[in-house]
This record gives sequence, C-alpha cells and structure tokens, in this order.
Amino acid sequence: MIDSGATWRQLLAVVGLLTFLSILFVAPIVLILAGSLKPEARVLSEAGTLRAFFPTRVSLQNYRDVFERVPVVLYLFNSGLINGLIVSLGLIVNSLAGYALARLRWPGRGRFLLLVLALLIIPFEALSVPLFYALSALGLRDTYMVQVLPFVANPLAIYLFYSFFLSLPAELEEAAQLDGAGPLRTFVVIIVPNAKPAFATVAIVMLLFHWGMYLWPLLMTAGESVRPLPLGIASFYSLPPRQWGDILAFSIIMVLPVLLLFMIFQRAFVRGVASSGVKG
Amino acid sequence: MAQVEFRGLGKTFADGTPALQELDVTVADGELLVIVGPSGCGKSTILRLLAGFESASRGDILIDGRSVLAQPPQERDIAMVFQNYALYPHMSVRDNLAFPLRMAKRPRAVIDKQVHAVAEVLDLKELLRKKPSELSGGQSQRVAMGRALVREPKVFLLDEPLSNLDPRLRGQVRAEIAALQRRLNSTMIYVTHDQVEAMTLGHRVAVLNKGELQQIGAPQTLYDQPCNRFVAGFLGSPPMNLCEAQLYRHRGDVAVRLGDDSLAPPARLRQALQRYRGNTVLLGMRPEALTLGSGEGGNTISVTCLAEERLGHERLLHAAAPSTTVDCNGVPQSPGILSIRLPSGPAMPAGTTVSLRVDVERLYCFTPIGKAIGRLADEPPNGFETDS
Repeated sequence: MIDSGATWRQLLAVVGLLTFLSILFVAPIVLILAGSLKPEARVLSEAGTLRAFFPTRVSLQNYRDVFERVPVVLYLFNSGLINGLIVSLGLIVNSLAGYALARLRWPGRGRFLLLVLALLIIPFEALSVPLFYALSALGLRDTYMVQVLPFVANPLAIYLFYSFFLSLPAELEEAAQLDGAGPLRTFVVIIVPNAKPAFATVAIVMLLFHWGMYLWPLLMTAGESVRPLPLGIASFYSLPPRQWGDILAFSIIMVLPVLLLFMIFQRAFVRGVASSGVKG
Repeated sequence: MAQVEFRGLGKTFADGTPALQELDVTVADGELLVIVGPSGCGKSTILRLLAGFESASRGDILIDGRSVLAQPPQERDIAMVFQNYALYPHMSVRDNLAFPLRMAKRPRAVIDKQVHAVAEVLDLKELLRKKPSELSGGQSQRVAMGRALVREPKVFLLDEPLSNLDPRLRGQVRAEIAALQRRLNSTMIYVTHDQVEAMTLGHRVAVLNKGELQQIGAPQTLYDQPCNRFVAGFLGSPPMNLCEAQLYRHRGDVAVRLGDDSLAPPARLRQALQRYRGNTVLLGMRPEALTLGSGEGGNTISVTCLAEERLGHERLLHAAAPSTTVDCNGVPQSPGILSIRLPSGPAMPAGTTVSLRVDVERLYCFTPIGKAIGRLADEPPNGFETDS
C-alpha cells in the first residue's frame, strides 16, 4: 500500500537503485550489440561517446564477415552438441544420484553426501591436470566425449536435486509403491513430473556453467572440428586483420543461443513452480 | 478380501527406540479394526509394517495365512489412504484413479469401466478432469478412497484419513466410510487418534499406548469394561474422572472415601475390593454417572462449581475434585477437575456448591498402577466380535 509521501520517496529510491543496477548489467550487452551493427570505422571512433550505445548506421556487414572468415556454424554445432549432451546426460545422472541420496537407504549414504558437498568447493582448474592425463591415456583427446564426460556428474546439480527431492512428500512414493510401481517407475512417472522446477534450475545452471568453457577444450582439443564457440572467438581474435566490429558480431552470435534458451527455460521454471501442487 | 494376522510383531528403530511391542492380533475377513491411541503410540508403525514401508524387528505378518514380510509393498495387494491423501499432483482425478490399474497392466476397457464404477460409487464423476490442486479437502479424501478401492485389494489401510477435514465434514465422511465398508464387506484397518472415530466406526477397537496393545474389543465393551486406567481415561469425551480414594472397613464391609464423602461400592466390586481395604485406589466415574441431587444411602458428593460449558442440548460442568485426580497416564492434574455431563438447565455460577448423586453401579476402581479391579468379564478371545 502506498499512501504517504514518505512511502513514495522510498519507492522512488528503490526504483532508482534497480534502474541503475539494470543499466550497469545491460550496458555491456547493448554496447556489444550496437557495435556489432556498426560499420567498422565507427566502432572505435564512437567508442568513447554516448553514441557507442546506439547504432548510428545499421549494417549487417560484420555478421557477413564473421560467417565468411570462420566456420561459425561448425562452432555453433559443436557448442550445441557438447552442451546439449552435458545438460541432458547431467539431468539424468544427477537427478538419479540426488534421488538415491534423498530417498534410498544404503550404507555409506551420509558419507557420500558429505563427499558431494566437499566437491562443491574444489575448482575445476585444480582437477584439470590429472583429468588431462587420465583422459589422454584413454585416447579421448580431440573428441566430443572428452568435452562432455567430466561434466556430466555435477556436485551442485546433485545437491540441488537432493534438496528438492527431500521436500517432496514421501507419501507420494509410498502411494505409488502400493499402487504397484517399482522404484525406477516411481521415479520416472511420479517424481520427475513433480520435479520440473528442479530440472529447469539444474538445466539453466549447467548450461551457464559450460557454455563459456574455455580452458578444458583448449587443453584437450587441437583441431577446429570439435572445438566450441569460446575457442572459436579466441582464435578469431588473433586472426589478422583484427576487426572490432566482427569480434563484437561474433560475441553476439555466441551469447544469443544461451540467452534464448535461458528465456525459454525461465518460463518453464516459473510454470513449474506455479503448477507444482505437491501439497496433495 | 482377507484375514490379517499379526504374530508377535515388534519394531525397534535403528536408534534403539522401541516403537511396537509384541503385537498379537487377528483381523477377520470383512472386519473394520480401528487402532486408536495418542501420538507416537505406534499405531502408524503397524500400518507401515503391514504395507511394507518398514521392516519388522520381530514376529510375523500373515495375510490369508501366508507371511508377507519378504514381499515388497507392491506385491502385498494392499491399498492405503494416507493422512495427506498423497494424490499425484500432476495427474487428473481420472488418471489418479486409473494409475493402480495401469500398473497392474489391465486392458484399457477394463480400466475405463472400473474407474467409471468407482467414480459412480464415490460421486466423483464431475471431478474426473480436475487436478488434485483444484479439489476441496472432502473431494480429495474421496479421490484417495477411490484410488484405494479401484483395484479391489485384499486389505485397506486408512491412516488418519479424516484428520485434515473440518469437524462438520468429518462426521459425514465417517458415515460414508462406514457405509462403504458395510457394502464392500472389505477388511479395513483404520488408524486414528480420535476416540470418537474409533467408537463410531470400528467393529473392534484396539487401544495402543507406548507401543503396547492395552485392550482390544467391541467399542462398547471397551467403554463399559476398560481393563486399565489408560483405556478408561482415553475413551470417552470428556474422559472418565479418575480420583484418588481410600478404601476402609465399614460395618464389616468395604466403603470408599472420596474427599469428605463416603460411597458404597457396587456389589460386583465388593468382593474384589476386600483385598485392597486400607489402601488408596483410583476411583473412575464417567461424566454421565454423576447427576444433580442427593441420593439414597449417602452416595453423594459435594463439589464446588468452577465453570460451565453450555452445549445446547446438554451442559458440561467442571467442578473442583474432592481429591487428587490423574489423567489416563496416571499423571496428577493440578488443579483436579471433575467433569459432569448434565442436561441443560439454569445457569450454575462459579463458586456454587452442589450435591452430586453418584451412580455407584457405574463406578470403576483401579489399582495404584492402573489395573482395573473386579472387571465384569475378561476380554473375549482374540476374534471377530461386534456389537450388532
């Protein structure tokens, strides 16, 4: 309820702060988008002015250049395939692991949960060298698989699923059991449809984590054929002549798919939360 | 339909907490057994053991003479109505009802027919397309019953199915469950902490406390002939008044001193009470065994009114007890209150002293440890016995 001057002032202050923060976050993306639509000559000349945020003369030349100079479609395909596999396999593996931790009784369950939590604090960079040796020894270098396998099982995803499954009433599973469903069927037919918010959240988190992955593919791949977008943009950056308009256009090409997917998943996420009448 | 047998069934949780002592009960084919007791008495554990959600520490469970302990829940042919109904939130009412039949791989035509039949019986036809989140408490309860009924299981388990309903609806659904059970003649085990549900629904009632079966029998038998203080104090609303009283020799016989007043025990108790002469016992009086006015032979007590609850057709008078009172667990109450059920009449202000006539034929006596003295009859053997 807004019924006094003081409340109006408070509201104004909050809206002002939120607007400022939004500008802060959105400005770089607008800058890249505007730059990518400008002729090369204007990208740098207008960079220090307010006009940097507005394409004064719209041109798609930079995008054409990018598609002509590097195999963007291949990079897009590679990134899509790698991330698609990581997310889809990750949803299956991590949800099953989270379910086993939350609901099934087995010796060592508590210790395993502690181990999962402990893994949350170990950065991937610390694991990359031993993983490099292990997977190289298996002959997996320069493959899609080597960019997928290490990231399928994810402690954060397991923990997110674990916490969500704990919040589901156990009676749902017990009812399904009495109705004749075995554990796997109960999971697939009863638990998964009621865990849409958890699946949407984990899908978003995993995608955001891995879409911009750079170090690991750089270590494990040599040729262009299996490399993802971040490596593509890096090699493009060092490719003469260095054209900033083209680099900005490539950046937009890289951001766009994940932005679109994020928007779709976000809708599913809200719908999932709204429709999950797990109260029974 | 089936006979269920608990043989020396016991459960101790992993942390050493005893949940259920040796339970030996047979539930006859077509019987509705109500298990009643306070929270944490082990009544839900019995259902969970029977359903297969918990493993037994001792003893055995037999359905139609065959042990089911080694079978997983889905193979025991048991249906259960949960306290929170546990309807599948993402499925329509129709799909909820059809789910057990789909799991049993019944043909589509059979599924449709049986869902339709159950919807007809439980008046669910208008709700078939709805999701559980769109249903009221009463409707959810009926759907949960429907899902249990649809595949015609051997045994029905009902775990406090009415506790989430408002009191008015509770009475209605209670009557519906009783009618349904009569019509289907199915074996049902019904768990509740509500003694009104136990008294009105059960062919037999089993009273449980601290994991131990206290008494089992027809509801009226339990009410009229409780075997101990717990059963006496747990069944009945308001509960039986349990007052400390002294037994003393009076003209060669035994008499009861309650505060400053004396009561002559009924003939059925005299013989048994002789043994306890000179001791303190617990005197049990149902609220309806006390009436206003002075009686013959001095069987009256004087009490001071504390409060009055007027219920329209009757009133409950709460008066200061003439001696220490205890609850069903033997814990002294402070202050000791005597509850008296009276027909409606002129108001009785707090502080008024009234004389109450005690119907001594309806007196009960319990030893200091709570065992009934001189019960009319011992419990009938463990079998199916009803009032009707």
